[in-house]
Amino acid sequence: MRRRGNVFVVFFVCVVICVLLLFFSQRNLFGLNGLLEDVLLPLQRMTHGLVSGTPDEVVRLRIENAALSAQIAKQRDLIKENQALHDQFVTVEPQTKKLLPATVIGSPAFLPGISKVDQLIIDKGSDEGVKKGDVVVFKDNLVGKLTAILPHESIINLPTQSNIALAAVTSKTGALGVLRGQGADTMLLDNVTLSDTLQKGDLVQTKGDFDTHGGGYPSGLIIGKILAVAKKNSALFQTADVSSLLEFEKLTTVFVMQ
Amino acid sequence: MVMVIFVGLISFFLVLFEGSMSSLPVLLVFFLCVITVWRKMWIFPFAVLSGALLDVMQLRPMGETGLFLVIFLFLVLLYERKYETDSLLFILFSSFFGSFLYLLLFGYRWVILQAVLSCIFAVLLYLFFHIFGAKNKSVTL
Repeated sequence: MRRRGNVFVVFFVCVVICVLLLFFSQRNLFGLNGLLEDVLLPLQRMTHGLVSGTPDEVVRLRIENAALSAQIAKQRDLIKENQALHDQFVTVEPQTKKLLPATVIGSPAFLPGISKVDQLIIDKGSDEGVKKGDVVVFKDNLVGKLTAILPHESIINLPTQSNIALAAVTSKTGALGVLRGQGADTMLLDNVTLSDTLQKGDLVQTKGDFDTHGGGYPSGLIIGKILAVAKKNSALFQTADVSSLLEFEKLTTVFVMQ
Repeated sequence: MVMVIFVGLISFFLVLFEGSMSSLPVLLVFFLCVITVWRKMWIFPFAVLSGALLDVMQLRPMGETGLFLVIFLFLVLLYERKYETDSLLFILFSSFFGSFLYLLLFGYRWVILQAVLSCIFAVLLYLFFHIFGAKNKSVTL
């Protein structure tokens, strides 16, 4: 009976501590979160490093391939830009003020071999000037957008997440559409009119959709490559399956656009 | 004292593992096995502390995981009077439902699959504890 009474006391005390912790952390009192983050961050970085490991030859070639694809896309953009200048049009691109390097320190809801990554945690937060809605890139590839910010950590939502939708354009044919995340590492380029051309292997880039607060995606970032096209004459729109050039689970360093 | 250090160290490593590598609720499973085999109340403060550290690493409001762990472990201890909790069958069911609820509450994907994996992990850990930690006890279904 006495032991049972003790259990209730311990349980009650622990619940009170948890509720107090919840209260303090949500109001960020005493800087408790920031303090613990400072301590845990190096350990988390080290542990995550053990999993992602050193990139092997295949990974290196994939990164190189992604870089070359980005270069091709850049060249195509230059050709288009030249043409536009010839026609006395001015191409206005959103200017990036600064790229802040950040280390990937975690990937929540990721089960190696079973589930795919749809969120990443980086070691930069509000103390480093990072804010919610900032776009994250790796080379010229879109990695995602920051959705939660703490003093020294932030969460990136990847474009493969099922609730993500953004305006996109194909690099070669200039077909416009809406890119939707499908979960499990896949994306769908939707709402492309039948008159537009979609080609397998063509790169899909962000169209650019800055909002009034300065958030949103800048134009010209590579989202991925078209894997398959679904076109039916009876349908209103055609769609294409898109896959990112990046292997998100292998990313160790990314850049926050500020 | 050795036991306290052992639980402290293992739970810290599991926090690191769950915080940066996997979404399997290994910490929950570990505490479940420890409390069913040894039935010690000092596990509660460890659950609160580990939960708080995990919350920081997972960018959740601090205290959420701790609260879940404490309530779950308390329920396990309450069952102790009605059923034989130190059995494989109890570990099997409690780890499955505990993990299922945990994954569901914290918005993870692949909930059933992960709960099944946690279940397997719990059984292995329970058997390990019985073989190496509590030799005087026999494993019962």
